[in-house]
Amino acid sequence: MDARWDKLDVTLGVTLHEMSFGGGVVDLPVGGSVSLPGVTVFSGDPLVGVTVDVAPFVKHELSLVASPLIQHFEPGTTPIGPHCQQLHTALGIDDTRRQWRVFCDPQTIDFDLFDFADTVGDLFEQALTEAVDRLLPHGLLHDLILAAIGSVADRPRTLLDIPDDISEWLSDLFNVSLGVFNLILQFVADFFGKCVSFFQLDDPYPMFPKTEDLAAVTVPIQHLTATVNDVELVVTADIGA
Amino acid sequence: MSELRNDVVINRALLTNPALDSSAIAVRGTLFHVFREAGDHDVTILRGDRVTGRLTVVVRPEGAASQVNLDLARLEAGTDRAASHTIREGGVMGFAVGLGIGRYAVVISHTAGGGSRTVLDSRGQLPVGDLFAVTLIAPGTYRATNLANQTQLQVVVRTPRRGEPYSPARPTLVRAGDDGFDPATAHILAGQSIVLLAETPARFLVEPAPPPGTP
Repeated sequence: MDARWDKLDVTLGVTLHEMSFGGGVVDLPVGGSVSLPGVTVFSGDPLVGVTVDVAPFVKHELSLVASPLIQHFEPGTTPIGPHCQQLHTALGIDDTRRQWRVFCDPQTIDFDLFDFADTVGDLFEQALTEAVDRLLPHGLLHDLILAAIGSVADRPRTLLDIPDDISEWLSDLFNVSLGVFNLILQFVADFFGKCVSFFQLDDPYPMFPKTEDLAAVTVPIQHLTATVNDVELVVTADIGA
Repeated sequence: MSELRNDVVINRALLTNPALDSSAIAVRGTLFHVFREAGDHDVTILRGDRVTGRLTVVVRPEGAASQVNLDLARLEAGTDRAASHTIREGGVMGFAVGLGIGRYAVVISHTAGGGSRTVLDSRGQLPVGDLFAVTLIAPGTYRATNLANQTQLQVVVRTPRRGEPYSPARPTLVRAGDDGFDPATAHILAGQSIVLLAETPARFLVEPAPPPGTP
């Protein structure tokens, strides 16, 4: 299943270290050398934060491995947790009738980054470049600092220590984050999977409704099973006593 | 969207271009003293007539750092509280000012046998072997003068050209002897440093050169 985000703000914080003039080492004619301390440009290390909405550029793939789980629900006997009971009330699920219920029991859920547009890297580079550009006072200092640290375009890569491809770097970052997200998703799916059935059958099953002349006709359902093949979910049961 | 996350201020001293004097250490001017004798040294930091710091430097023949740099502004503010340093014989202590408008002087005395002998008083002349480094940011022509013998050095500072390899951390050494400076003219890029080596007792003053035709 492909999944897309409505909004996905990603914020990167970049600390600008050791911006200074002067410095370096000078060798002395009599031997030895002297290290110059340099003159720092700022009173501390500025931290620049940039936020970019990457939702239009990110596509995810949701993979689910699950099996059907059969439950014979007996009102008042089959336990329902308090949270599940609240959900049933909210969804209008009738817990007063005996039913066969088929749940989806998730074994693994994988929410993977499927595609990350290269343009995301450009967006971050542009945002960081603008942030650094605004941070530096304009004039001679601005030009000299940029000359010292390389071109403006290369600056974000230098700051972030990104070797080659910023979008690839972001992808790795996402996958680490999504590892945690997958865990959360697993817990959520476990709860919903064991709380809300996707198929239910009343037991006894009403074959014919009650009329003015005749009582309702119901038949008991026994030995319900559910299997999944390549194309469909097959539910089988014994009807009648 | 972008934002600056913590409060930092620019070093305003970089936006002005006053003369730099080895007798009044300020931002962009660093004094380096070479400790040639083993033993204990008392170091006194002065701002005007006020003592802003005292520390002891122990000089050992072996087994110690060859250089220690001190920020006199941090020392005055109390953020650099180390009261004692150990340096190898022949090692160097650098006295710099990181931030602010303060101008400082350094007095170093060698203490031995209950006596004390001044080996450096930066308000006067630097002894042979000491150095004064200045970082020049504004492009233009500067004049460095050894006030002890009135010899002069011309320093030309220019902005790096577009695409030209540039690193501020490339200092240029100039020797200041009895007969003047060697070389007689120095060329650096803006933001780099000139290091003046006293090969004769010296007091250095580096200032923007007056425009041609100025008396």
